Amino acid sequence: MRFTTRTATNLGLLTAISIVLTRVFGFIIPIAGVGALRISFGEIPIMLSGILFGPVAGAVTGVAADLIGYAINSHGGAFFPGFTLTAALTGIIPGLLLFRRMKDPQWWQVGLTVLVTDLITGVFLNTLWLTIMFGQGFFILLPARLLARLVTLPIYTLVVFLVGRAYQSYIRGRE
Amino acid sequence: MAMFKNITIGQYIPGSSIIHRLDPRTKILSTMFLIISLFLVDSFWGYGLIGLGIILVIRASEIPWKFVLRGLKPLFVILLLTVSLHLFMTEGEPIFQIWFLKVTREGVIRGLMMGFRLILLVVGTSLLTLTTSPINLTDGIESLLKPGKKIGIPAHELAMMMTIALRFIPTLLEETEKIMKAQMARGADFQSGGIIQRAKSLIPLLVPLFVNAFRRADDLAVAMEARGYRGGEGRTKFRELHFSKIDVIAIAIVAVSSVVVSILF
Repeated sequence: MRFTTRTATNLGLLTAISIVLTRVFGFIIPIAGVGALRISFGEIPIMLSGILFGPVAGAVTGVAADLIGYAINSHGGAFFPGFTLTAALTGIIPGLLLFRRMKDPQWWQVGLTVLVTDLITGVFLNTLWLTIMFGQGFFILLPARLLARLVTLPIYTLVVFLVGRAYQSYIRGRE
Repeated sequence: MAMFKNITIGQYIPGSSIIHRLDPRTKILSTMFLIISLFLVDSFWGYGLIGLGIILVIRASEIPWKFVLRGLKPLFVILLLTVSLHLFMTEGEPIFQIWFLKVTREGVIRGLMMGFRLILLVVGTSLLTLTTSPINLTDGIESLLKPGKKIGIPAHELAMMMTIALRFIPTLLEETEKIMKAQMARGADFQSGGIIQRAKSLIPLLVPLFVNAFRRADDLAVAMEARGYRGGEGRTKFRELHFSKIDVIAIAIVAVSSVVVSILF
């Protein structure tokens, strides 16, 4: 697969936004004093790259964002390939579900896409990786992780929907 | 708002030690070996030997301990939680009991092992980023993924995207600050309120951030093509990576020792 230059630069910028959003904006909800419940918005640009440029583009953006996040990580943390896979899927799944429909998506389609993606990656896979890394017992955080979705789901949906529409009208304006 | 000023990008510490001078590909592959063997090893002896190896590499890299251990600080709580979860939740021969909390021998062993593994994982993988600049890392990843082109892995595109992202992170941080100030002048409030309120207040910030990024990406694409960029095909490099004898020796040592440690322990 070869991207056009324009696709590559767009994906590069989306990767950069993902890093910025993960680093700068993020709420940590302390439950039992654990920062494992981090609400951040870094997944939004990765989902968008899948939706706007296709599943492969989404996968590459996810991988790039994860690798850079690790490379520039100024406050520690380990590299674990599982999270790279999660990031890739965060781009692939919305791409598979919405890429062809993006000309005129309904808000509930976007919401469903965000929900499915987030359940597979954020809730299920990441809990699995944490369990592999830290051993069993991390599943006790699952209800709390699900609860955090109540906050992120509407925000993710709204931003993905609005930016998707803004992108379409930007494309129309350019042509 | 000076909140973005103190964000340091990257944890690379420049130096000229033997570890710094290794080819990035050598270091990436070694890190992969380390991660795999950490998850295969299942005894204190194994972790001890891997730890010894990591200590030797840290000494060779001449990176002050302060920087190496800094990566552990944010993990302290999680480390504590992990160890105590295992301490109390593993079934086995009880050592002592406080009310309903039962500490078992197996629990102590498992808890300590998980703790060691986590510390080694964090310290070991941070060594790669402490001794390799992000640009070198990107070059290394591109070169390592090149064989994957046949099965459709866009190695060059990935590296180009990472380079673009690294270049634009500071720009976007600045822009975020600018948009924030512009929205605050219009009455937006980013600081107060509950979680939902604060999350909602980010929408008028995120949408313009994305739209500006799309515009910037288009300009960048035009500028690149005007200078003759045509993708990865036939592209030459200013700085070529090359394996030296030391790289071959280093990779051989790491590979052999991780295979041996993984099999024996």
